[in-house]
Amino acid sequence: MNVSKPQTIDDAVLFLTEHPDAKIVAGGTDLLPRINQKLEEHAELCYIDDLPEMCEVRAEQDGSIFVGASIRLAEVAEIKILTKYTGFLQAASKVASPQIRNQATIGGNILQENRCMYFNNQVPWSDVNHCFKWGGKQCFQYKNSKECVALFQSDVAPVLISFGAKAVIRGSEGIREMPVKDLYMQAGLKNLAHNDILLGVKLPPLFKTEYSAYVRKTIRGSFDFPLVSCAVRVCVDANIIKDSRVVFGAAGVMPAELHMSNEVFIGRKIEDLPLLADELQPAVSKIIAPFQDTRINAAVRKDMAKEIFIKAIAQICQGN
Amino acid sequence: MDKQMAEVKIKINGREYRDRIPSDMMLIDYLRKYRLLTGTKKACGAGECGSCTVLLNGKPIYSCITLAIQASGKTVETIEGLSDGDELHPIQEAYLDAGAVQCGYCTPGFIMSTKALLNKVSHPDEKCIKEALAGNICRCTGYHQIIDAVKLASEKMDQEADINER
Repeated sequence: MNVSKPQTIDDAVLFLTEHPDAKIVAGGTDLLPRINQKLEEHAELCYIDDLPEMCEVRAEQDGSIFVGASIRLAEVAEIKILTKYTGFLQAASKVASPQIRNQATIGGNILQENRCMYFNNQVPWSDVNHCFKWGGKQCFQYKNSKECVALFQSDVAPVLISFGAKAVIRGSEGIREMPVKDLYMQAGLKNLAHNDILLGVKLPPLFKTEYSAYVRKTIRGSFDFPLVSCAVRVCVDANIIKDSRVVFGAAGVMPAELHMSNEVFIGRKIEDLPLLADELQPAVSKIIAPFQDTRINAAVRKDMAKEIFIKAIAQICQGN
Repeated sequence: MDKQMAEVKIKINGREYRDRIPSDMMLIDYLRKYRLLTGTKKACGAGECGSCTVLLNGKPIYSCITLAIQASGKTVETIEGLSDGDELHPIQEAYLDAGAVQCGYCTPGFIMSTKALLNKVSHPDEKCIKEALAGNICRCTGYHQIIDAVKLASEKMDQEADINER
């Protein structure tokens, strides 16, 4: 394996255009373990960690905040202009372990590969009976599935989606923006060309009064992937809910949004939030994919989603 | 395809080294094979156990999932950088005194995580210690002794600072 280190973002895009097999690496905490475990093989890596465009955090003229893709998860807590994006801070502080957070980047977290026990835990028969992730034509998770259904595990992405954040992407035709939500496609694929580089994310300005929370369920207190996670954001004016967004992580192949939340929440008083959340519980259960792994089964995952949704709402009410 | 080589310039335990290494070499392999600093241990290779923890620019990271070129131009501290000749660092002494070392394979990683914590917070409470050591796994001690060792190390470093002030 060869690792090349382009010196500028232009060089990096050019390098990726000329080397269609090269894989991007920055923090490396998602990709390098898979390479070490021989789950993946790459002839070429393109190392783009310390390009200046991707290392900055700045307030834009329209009030939004640009956070570079190379910002480390551990650094998020130290950035003053982000202190009111509570959910974002909570999510970044919960990822894996201190060592991983010192090394892993925001960009890498939201673009991390989906995980499945039949791939990442390397079951004994995976060498002969290949699943989709191994380049085969079957899925051990859902027997009749026509594509990979590995679980989306990012902690940061659900929160960014709840804030309506945009991904800033540098491609061969210049810089473009798209909602973070649109990065994700079926079968764990990302809506990016091979030579697209995620420069960072843009968080929109905060509403005058708004509350956000991120709650996740894990087997261990730390150093674990979420079994299921929930990001909630509620905008309030004069005690009346004006806007809301509820997004679940580890709910399927991509983050799942509870679109019904606005129908139920908007125009109601913030004090009524816990009662209104109870009404939404059956809807929460429906959007969680029945995914089973070595940790929990499908039914428990749905129950846990309801539980953490209620917990996140409780946090929002406490913040109020 | 020929193996691509890369130049690295890394300051390890206060001394600067320049080397020409394979571009895909992991930091742990560079430390162990090129610099013969075998105190840092390699175990899972997947960033799951913490035995390969070293400090990169003062912050703990897993050297088994870090490319050596990622450390180029930065400073690295390993377990070898702690003791002064035959004299152990207060953290190392505390680990021995508290019985926090059994097979010892995870110890260099734990000690480096402890060093990073005590550099930042001189008197951490138990919650803080547990959070700082969450990325290291020990299958022998059961962690209680390790937490005791961190508390003891914090006291020992205080005493040392007092002596130095006098």
